[in-house]
Amino acid sequence: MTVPVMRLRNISKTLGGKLILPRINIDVPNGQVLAILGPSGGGKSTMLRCMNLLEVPETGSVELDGVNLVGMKHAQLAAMRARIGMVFQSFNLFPHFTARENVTLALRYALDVAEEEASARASEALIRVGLGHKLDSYPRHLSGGQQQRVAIARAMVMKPRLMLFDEPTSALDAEMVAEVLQVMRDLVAGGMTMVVVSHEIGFVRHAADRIVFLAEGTIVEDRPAAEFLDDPQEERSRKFISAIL
Amino acid sequence: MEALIKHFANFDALWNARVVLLEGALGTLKLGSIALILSMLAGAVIFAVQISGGDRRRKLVEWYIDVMRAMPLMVLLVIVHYVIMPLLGVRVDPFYAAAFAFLLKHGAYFSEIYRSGWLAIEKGQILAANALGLRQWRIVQMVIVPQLSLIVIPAMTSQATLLLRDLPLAFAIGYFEILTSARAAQVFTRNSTPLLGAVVAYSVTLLLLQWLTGRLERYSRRRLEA
Repeated sequence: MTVPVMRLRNISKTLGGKLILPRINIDVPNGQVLAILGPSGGGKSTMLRCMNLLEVPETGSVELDGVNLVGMKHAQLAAMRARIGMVFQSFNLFPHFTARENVTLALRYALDVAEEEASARASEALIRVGLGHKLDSYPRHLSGGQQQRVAIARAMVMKPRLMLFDEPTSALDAEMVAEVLQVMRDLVAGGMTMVVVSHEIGFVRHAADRIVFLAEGTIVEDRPAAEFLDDPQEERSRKFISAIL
Repeated sequence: MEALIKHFANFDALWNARVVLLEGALGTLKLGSIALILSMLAGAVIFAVQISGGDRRRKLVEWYIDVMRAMPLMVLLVIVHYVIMPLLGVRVDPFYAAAFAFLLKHGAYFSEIYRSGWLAIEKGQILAANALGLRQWRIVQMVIVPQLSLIVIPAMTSQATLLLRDLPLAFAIGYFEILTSARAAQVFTRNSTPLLGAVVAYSVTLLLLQWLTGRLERYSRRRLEA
């Protein structure tokens, strides 16, 4: 069997004295779009953050293409993180940089790409997310949907092995959700390996290959997306699905 | 009316007092610039001690800052000049004593400014920078320092204004600065024009700094809006 892009093995994480993830295992094979569903406080974001070690797990290993990230020195870990894109609920663009500078930054300083090439690649990425006319705008002059598309461009310009999405549309007004989901669909069509925490059921149904339902830190169900949505097996997942549909 | 002009807008008196006034202005500038630089540096050191150490160090710094907040500058000046400096065996010179007292007090204020700036940086910024694979010092250089400066520069300008405003208190330990020299000039010219001139010049400088603070505040707020 081929090595998965991302493998969490035996991961535990405690936050504020509360055990959020008790020994979780999950594999994400190359090219798969994995959606993570579940009630809030169930450990979805924590699990996602363990994948690039923004949260450091207390036990187990986090493997990117078979290489364990846990226990790496900071510089080494930074190099591995550069291969994992992440998009946050609150965008987290750098307010003192323009859209293009936001997208250029990690190319320049994490991948050491020359300035001109980095700038050209950043422009190209922004054009791909439909923001070719906003290259030199500061985040404060962009709508929420536009800011999130810049954030996606900032992640995808690194040509990552894997992209993590932590509720990317939850902070957006309804009319801006579609433009962000469209950009994510384009990524799916391009074959990107993705782990998505999202409650956009329409998007999950059509774009995700697989759903993991997480509650109280444990995997309640782990099945193909359509199958899970049409016929959840467990009581907890059934309740959850009927509540959000 | 003529008497009024003669007493408060008498350019001969101002001219006669020029050397004394200039000396006083230089005294203010000298103490002001040195005290400001030392206070800003001391603030950075205090802040570094506060966030780098454990609970005990943090408590100690908090206690120090509280004491400095509560202590009237005049009292501090006198203590430093007549107690601490002699104990340290340093030459008894009001300039050194004044600079040291300002450093102790305003350094505490500057450290609080740095700390509030640090707290004001959104933690998501650090998360995003880490997730992008930036190395630690690049994060400091490209993300933290630019934002921290935008946040703290207005507050620092405001604190510099307060420091400058406090300078005349150094007369308490015999330091010769602009208002002391102006009062001396008032005595020997038997005219109030030099004093009035010095007060106007001093106040206008403070007002300009105040205005600058407001401008910087608006600029920062605009730049850091998300």
